[in-house]
Amino acid sequence: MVLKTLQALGPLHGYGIARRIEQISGDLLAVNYGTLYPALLKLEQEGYISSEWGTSDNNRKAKYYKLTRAGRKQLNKEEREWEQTTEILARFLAPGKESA
Amino acid sequence: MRRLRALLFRLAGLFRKERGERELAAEMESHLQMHIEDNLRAGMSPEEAHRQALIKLGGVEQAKELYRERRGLPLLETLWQDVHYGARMLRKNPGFTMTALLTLALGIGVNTAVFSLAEAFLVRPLALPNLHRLAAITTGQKSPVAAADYFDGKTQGQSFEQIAAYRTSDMNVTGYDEPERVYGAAVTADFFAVLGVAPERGRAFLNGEDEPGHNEIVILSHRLWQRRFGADPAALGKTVNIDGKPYTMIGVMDRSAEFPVPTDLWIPLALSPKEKADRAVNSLHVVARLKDDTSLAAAQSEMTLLGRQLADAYPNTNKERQFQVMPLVEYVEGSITRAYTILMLAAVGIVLLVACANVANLQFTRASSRRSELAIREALGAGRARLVRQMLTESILLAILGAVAGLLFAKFCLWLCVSKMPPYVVRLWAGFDKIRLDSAALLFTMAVALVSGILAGVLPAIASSKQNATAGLREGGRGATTGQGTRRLRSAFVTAQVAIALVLVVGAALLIKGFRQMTGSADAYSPEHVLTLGVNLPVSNYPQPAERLAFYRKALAALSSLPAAQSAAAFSCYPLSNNGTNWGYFQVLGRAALDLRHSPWADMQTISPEYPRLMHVALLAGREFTSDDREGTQPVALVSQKLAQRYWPGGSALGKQIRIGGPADSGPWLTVVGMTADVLYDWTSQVPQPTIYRPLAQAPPAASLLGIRTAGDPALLEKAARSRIAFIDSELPAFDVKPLDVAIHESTVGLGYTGTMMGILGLITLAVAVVGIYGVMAYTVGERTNEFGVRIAMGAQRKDILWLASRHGLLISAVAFAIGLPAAIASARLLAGLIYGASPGDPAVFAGVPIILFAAVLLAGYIPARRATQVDPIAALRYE
Repeated sequence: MVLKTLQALGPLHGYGIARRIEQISGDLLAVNYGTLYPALLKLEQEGYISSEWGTSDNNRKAKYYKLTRAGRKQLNKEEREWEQTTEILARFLAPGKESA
Repeated sequence: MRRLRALLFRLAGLFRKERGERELAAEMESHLQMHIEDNLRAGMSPEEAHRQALIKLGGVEQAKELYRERRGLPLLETLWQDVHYGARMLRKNPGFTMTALLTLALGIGVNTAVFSLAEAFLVRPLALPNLHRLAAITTGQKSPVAAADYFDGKTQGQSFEQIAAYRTSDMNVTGYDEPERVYGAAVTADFFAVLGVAPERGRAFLNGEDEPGHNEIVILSHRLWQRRFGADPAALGKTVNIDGKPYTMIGVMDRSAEFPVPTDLWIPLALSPKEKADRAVNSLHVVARLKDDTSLAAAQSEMTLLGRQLADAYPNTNKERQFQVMPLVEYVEGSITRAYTILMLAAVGIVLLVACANVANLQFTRASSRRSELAIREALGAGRARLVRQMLTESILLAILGAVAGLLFAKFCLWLCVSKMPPYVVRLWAGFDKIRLDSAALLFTMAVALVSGILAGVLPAIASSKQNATAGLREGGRGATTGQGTRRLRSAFVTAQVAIALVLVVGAALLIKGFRQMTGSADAYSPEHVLTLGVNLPVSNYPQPAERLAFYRKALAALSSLPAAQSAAAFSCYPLSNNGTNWGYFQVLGRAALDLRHSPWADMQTISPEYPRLMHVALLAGREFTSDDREGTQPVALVSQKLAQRYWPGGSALGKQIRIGGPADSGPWLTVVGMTADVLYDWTSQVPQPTIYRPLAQAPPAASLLGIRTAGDPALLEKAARSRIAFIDSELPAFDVKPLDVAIHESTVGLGYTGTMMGILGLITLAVAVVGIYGVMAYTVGERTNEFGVRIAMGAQRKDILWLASRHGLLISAVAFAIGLPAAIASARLLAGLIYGASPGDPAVFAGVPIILFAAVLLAGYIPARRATQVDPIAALRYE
């Protein structure tokens, strides 16, 4: 989700990512913002995202995260995998319709 | 891949904590501010905006903590914390730390030292490449192989890349300098190829150079080249005389290639066709390099098969002959070196165990004084595993520090070993020049430290983490006594320590007493007034017995006419030597002849008539040899008392007849004309062996020792004695010219070393055990101070308190002795083969050692017990 967010919006700071995830999920996912940062750190350590300090819209210093090439690749891979998974799941759930 | 990258980043994170911390704080701050601004925009009050933002974040500190865990490696960080904290705790308790460190340093240090010795003696006594692929082929008991058998093995053996043979002998070198006796080896042409070494200068032997007529070439050892030829490269190509024959020097062998140990020069082993066909006499040492894909066991089964085939083909000679393949390393080690080294390894292992038990005990003591600290930590949320880990980390840290100090101690021990060993012995002892602290020893030390840290720490850690946090807090570490289980454990530790110390000290005392008794027995021969020297008459110059006899006559006359000399004599072997005596079979007239294996045997000595007086060997019956016992007169012999008693029990040996050799040998019957007292010639045989003396004039040997007795210092005669021999034969070197007491010292020095080492180990164990007893007693008394105070206040007498306080210690020592004494007796029996000069059941040792140990234990217990009687009841009660 973090990767997708970054892909959609470009470089973004931690708070922004958290808000975005909340908005997209329609507040169904109440992210504990505190758990976001370790996740960001993990992605950074694994090299999928990189970070640098910048200034926000209202002139506040913030750490901006952006997708790396490896991150994009990983995102594509995971999207494909996800599609596969949902497809398979859909087939499992579909038979009821077929027989009807 | 990604994981690894993350791991590296996390490792790096460990070291950039401060910067990371600042950035994290800034990031959190900006996050909060943005959130608050949003909240404000959404119409919240400033307080509410702040509150909501914090709730969403889940708390700044909590978020930070989550982040931190991901940033570094928590396991490593806590380890680092533990080490840090442990180091601080150790610094805070210098008394505890020093005692534990010293104990561990001694325990680990002796292990490292003995490991290094064992490695040098048993693992890499030779510096040959791929040493573990080299094997020796023997006919059992490290016996050599007959020439014809060797050639059969060489042509048929499939398990070996190559097989070579050699023979060692002393050789006389003349030319360029004074005549000199050196260690020589005659080797087949492929010998160096088998060993995998090449000369550092010149060339090795070529095929065909080990044939008679082509063999007048020699390869020098680096040592000899340096000593005798001043490391002159031009010496190669020149000739040198060896045993009277000229040899051309063709090469110099690197020092690391010295095999067999010791060797000064190698000449080709040129066997005549007749010698090559000899199957009767086992005369060649055989060394072989195993093929890479062949195991020792496979080679052994091949050689066993060959042995059977040869036994079928040549039943006369090979019927009972079997071949044995053994690692070369095992082949070269001294006969008792392995046994003693293993004994020492076992002893230092025991010392380490005792040291660990002691440190464990110290930690028990400390753990109970840390009870409130542990309770607080537990109350603050430290898990039990975490507490155990903390304590173990401390224990291992202690052991590693101890190991570092132990390395220094080991270095010192090795220095002592090497520097005090006579060079003559070092030269003969395969592996002695390889003693050093190498990387294997360092690794071993660290492993030992780790193990001892865990051994000494695990029980105290578990025991002290077991307690209930609230109880620990409530009592505040005051007043309560240690739990029953812990106390029992500690008592068991101390009991084991005392019992083990008893075993070790008894063993050490037996070894030392035996050694002292043995070397003390040499006093009977007053060796400090005898000079010995060896001569080796080469067959080329002295082919006939008469010529040899003539030499000995002249030499003895010349030596006894030295101004300071009282007498001079020739003999084969001096008392308490260890280079093996000249033993052989003999037949007794009137007894049924047995086959060779069951024939009687004895040490054979060839002596000149003056020998018994010179060496102070008492004549118990009959007469000594005289100058009339010579070639052409009746062949005679003296026998030792032991031999006489064994073969003519109850009767007199005088006038009886014996013949040297097996039942099939023919030789003159010798008439026994006298009986001498027993002499222990080879101390490794533990007790004097039956001995037959023959007069030099009736059987002049090719090699002999000569002795001169003087009233003064025999060392002063060395030079004169050498020049007298040189005057008779300018090409004949006198070797091993030294006072007899020095020679005896050198032959027994290894045993003395072992005894001393065991003694030191015994003392260490004893000291450690006494400290252990003292520690436990002092602690128990300290714990029961209040109780004693109350008892004294209630009117208890001094002696009651003394009894109460020392009862525990007495019980411990009683149990320890009940276990230790039988164990000591059993282990002394087990080691009987290694104890020389004393019986393994020596009553003085078995009475004395326990008494001394008991006194030490009693004293260690008495000091704290006495303190208990001096408890001031008022102070004790007020303290409560």
